[in-house]
Amino acid sequence: MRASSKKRRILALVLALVLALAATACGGQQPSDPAPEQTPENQTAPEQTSAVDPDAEIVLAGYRNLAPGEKDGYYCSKILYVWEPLITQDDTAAPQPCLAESWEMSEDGTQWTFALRQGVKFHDGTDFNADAVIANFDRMGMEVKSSSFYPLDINTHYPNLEKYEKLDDYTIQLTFSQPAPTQLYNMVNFGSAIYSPGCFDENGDFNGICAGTGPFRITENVLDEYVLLERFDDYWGEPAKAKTIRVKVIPDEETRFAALKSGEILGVIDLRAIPAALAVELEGSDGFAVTTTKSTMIYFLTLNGTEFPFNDVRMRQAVSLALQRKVITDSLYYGFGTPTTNILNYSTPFYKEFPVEEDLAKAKELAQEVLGDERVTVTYLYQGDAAAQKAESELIASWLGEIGIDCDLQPMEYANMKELMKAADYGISRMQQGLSNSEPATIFRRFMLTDGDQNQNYSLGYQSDEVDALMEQAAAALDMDERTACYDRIQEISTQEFPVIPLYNDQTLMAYSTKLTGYEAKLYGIELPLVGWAQ
Amino acid sequence: MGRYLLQKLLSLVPVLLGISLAAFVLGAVSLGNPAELALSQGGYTPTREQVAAMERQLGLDASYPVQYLRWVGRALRGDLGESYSSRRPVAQELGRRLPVTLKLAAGAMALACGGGLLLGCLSALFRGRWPDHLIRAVVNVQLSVPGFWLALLLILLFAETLQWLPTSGNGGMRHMILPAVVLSTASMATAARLTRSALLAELGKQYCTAAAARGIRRWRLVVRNALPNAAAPVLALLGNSLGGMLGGSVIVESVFALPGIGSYALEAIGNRDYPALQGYVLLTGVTYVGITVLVDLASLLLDPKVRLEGRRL
Amino acid sequence: MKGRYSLQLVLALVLLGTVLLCSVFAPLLAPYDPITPDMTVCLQGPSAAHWLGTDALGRDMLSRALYGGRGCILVALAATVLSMAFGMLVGVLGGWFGGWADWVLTVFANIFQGLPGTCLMIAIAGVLGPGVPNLVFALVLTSWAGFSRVVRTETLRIREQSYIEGLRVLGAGPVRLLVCHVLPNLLPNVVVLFTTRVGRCVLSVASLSFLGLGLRPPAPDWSVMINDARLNYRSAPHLILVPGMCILLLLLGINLLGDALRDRLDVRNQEAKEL
Repeated sequence: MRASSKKRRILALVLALVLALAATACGGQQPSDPAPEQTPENQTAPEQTSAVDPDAEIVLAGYRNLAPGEKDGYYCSKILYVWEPLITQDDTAAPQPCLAESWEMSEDGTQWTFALRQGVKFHDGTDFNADAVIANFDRMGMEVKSSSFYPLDINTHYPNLEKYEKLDDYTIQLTFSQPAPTQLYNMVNFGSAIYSPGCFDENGDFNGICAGTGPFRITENVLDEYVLLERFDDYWGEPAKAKTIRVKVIPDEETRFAALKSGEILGVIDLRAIPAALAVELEGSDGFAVTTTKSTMIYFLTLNGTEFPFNDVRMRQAVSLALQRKVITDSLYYGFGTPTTNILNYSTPFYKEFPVEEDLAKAKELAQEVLGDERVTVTYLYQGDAAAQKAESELIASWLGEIGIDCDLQPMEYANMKELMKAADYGISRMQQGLSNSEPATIFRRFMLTDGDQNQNYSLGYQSDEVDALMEQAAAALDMDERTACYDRIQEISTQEFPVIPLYNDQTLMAYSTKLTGYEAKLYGIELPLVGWAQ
Repeated sequence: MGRYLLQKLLSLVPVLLGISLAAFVLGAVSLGNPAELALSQGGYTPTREQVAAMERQLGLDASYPVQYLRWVGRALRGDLGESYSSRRPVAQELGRRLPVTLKLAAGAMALACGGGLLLGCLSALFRGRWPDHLIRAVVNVQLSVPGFWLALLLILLFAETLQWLPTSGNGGMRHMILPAVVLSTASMATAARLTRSALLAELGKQYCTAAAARGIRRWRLVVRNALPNAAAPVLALLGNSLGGMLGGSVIVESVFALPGIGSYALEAIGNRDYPALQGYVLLTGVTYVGITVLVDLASLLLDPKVRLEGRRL
Repeated sequence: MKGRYSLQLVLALVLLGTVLLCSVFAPLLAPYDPITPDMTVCLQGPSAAHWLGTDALGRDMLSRALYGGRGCILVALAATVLSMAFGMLVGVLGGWFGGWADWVLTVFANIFQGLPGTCLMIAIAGVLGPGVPNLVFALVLTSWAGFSRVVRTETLRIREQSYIEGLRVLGAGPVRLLVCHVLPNLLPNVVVLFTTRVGRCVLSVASLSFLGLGLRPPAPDWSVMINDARLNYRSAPHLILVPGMCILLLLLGINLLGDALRDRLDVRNQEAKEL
């Protein structure tokens, strides 16, 4: 009896321990919960309960780290408004002054002179001037720096650059070996990001939180959790409305949606902010709004053009003709997308509209010319984590089945897809491309020149002497009209020869709580400095 | 007993070796060149020279056995390598995420323990009557329901329709309720079954019959005498099911978007981030083995029969 | 007492029979093509034309549900048969011959038993990529050791029995003894274990497919259907209810059968009982 009572006591102890452990484990998380009242501005402003405190923290969320940090060539995305470029763009993607106030091109188009804005300070207190810009060019010239946004490569943004020099404290000059009349478009946003020279080391890597000149500065950056932005009081332009903005990282689209609905976050930003299906659902409920505009993203199918059957241009035409793009954008993306056959995104000023042709009979005819009476099986890669892409691929596969192409659908991670594509070990792949700047030659060069990097990486096997010649002509052309004519013709060729099969131009789609104002979708993100509390 | 313990510990050596080998092989047999993978994250295409340099840096030019020994040596010092995708130490990342999974597992364990014992007791007390039948039916469903489906149903009911609980994400205690319920389902059912059969066996024993004859209430008998005797195997079972919970947490964390080690493993698979996956397998493997040992020790302390058996071994 | 067991058995057989027959005869029963989209009837609720509604691509849910179990069941069966074969081989050899061979095989099995099964299975399936052969490989690798342990214990027990000793004295060879005497004696245990393991395999395949590491489109699959519906299930719950119920009924059938068999065959085995 004694033994059994002892045993019982031990047992009770174990039970109690398990329960206590569980209780503390569950309860213990509350301190780690990022409580908003711990942030400094709420301590200084306790009268938040009355109307709306304009300085209260605004919490937003995106699907990825918008500030990937020191290892990223840009440290953070443009849409956080931490760094500013020399040249930015307006709603029509036309170049606009930012840190460069004005500019001038030499007669022969090989020299550009930029007058820099005066009285601008970096977040670390140093002055913005020609020396700072030269230091940034030095950094860009070191090596290609990888980034989760766009590779930081001086040759992409400044092709044929011969030298860059300081003329005086607020003037710099770029000299090119060939005429560069569209150089401004190359320099838009990611093309001319400027940081304080004090925030990178001798290898050009960031040595801590980056210091830009933007209306917000980063005060705290916890990877995979959040980045904390604070209004920069010495900003040269219109100060930001919000005092602090916390941008959380919530990778899962459903969780972002749930957090928005529960009020845990007030808005979603960045690409893939919210799937169309959920945005439509949210639009119907009170207290939320959706903002949308053209996006710089275009979605397309790449075909392995190095092998049968897609090395035959007729087969690529057949694929394009068999697609019912309108059904895709309307049924799967709820109208948030515009069908296109042009490789160039519709947000650049150089975009030319072409009719989207759809003709199943003609598609079958063309396919039969290539395939004869045989059927062909190809692998079709798509991104497995995007639910809508899966439905889309099944839909497209069913259409392609009608012209004799059987698709072996393979959901995959983006990186794996790219690896297979590079090895030419695929048939069809669903891809997307954004514009890093608004000079269309960047896109044409990457996709349509024989040695273009995407042409190689995606095994497009595209080759056209006419495009090669047109690109050369455009590069040498000083006259804008001549250049535009070349670009128009290249776009036309892309709708006939299909280096890739464009599906649709995307729309930036973001949702927010109506407690906020100024939440307006832009070509690239939202204009964060305009976001504030609604009264 | 000392010898038994020693034997037990010795038998762990091959298991730990096996775990480390499994983790290593997972990375080694992977398709694609790890050096190229490490470099090509973020859409960047490395040059051949860069790949060769990275191969040297990662020590990939050595033979597999040498690589394995080096890897184990580093792992023993707590260095699990650097993640390809985030470029941060895997050990640090696992350490950051482990508390979430442990919280989830602890919550699920508490539910399984409490729920299982309760259901089992009720079922045994009302043996053959409708509560027994009902509980047995529920237990059968619990054993058969796929976790991911149950998770979506619970979200639909409690989060979307009734709006009592948050849908998903990491946050306060409320965020853990639904995931813990889903994770505990199967263990709770097995525990309930085992409790019921152990209790019935116990109640059939002479002392219980005698006590019942003396007019002691049945529920009193169950709670005070039979349950403590029957609980030892149940606790052992629950301890062992903790290993299953580590696996199940991958699905639960994925559905409820919890940033634990399970969702880390899924991300690692997606990104082909082999150092991260190796770290995950090693961590869960060692945790699992550790739990098994603890459970053995606990039942050793609780059950004299096992103690004796141990001596005989 | 007897009556309840039979009831359980009947229920199990009815459930299993329905699900299996529906899956086998899906081509005859399905009113529509389960794969071809029809974008004119997307996301409809149940109606006379579509008894269980349609999905996001306008495909008939009833037809898809009928087809949706085939892959999962086949893979689970194949994986269980293979792991049983391998596990039995190792278990019988170890248990029968004993000595260092037994020691090696036991250590080998212990290693695999000591690994956290589900974690490893997900990792293996993830590294190898989706597809049936990889899926089966991952399942077999993580479940054969369970069979071998049970079989070894039973073989040891049978070997020690006096009639086997007698037969051996009479000159029966090891092969004959194994095939004619040991294997038949193992049968009840193995049958019960097989049933519970098939259930576990179905659940594993379903989970892996749900995570995108298992079966692939275009062939419809219940768990893939559930995953596909994650954008739309709030407004169209039938998208997850239909396939989920199918998996539940199948598993319920298998588990009930396992219980009934265990009671019938009077298998006293901890391993089989716990699972």
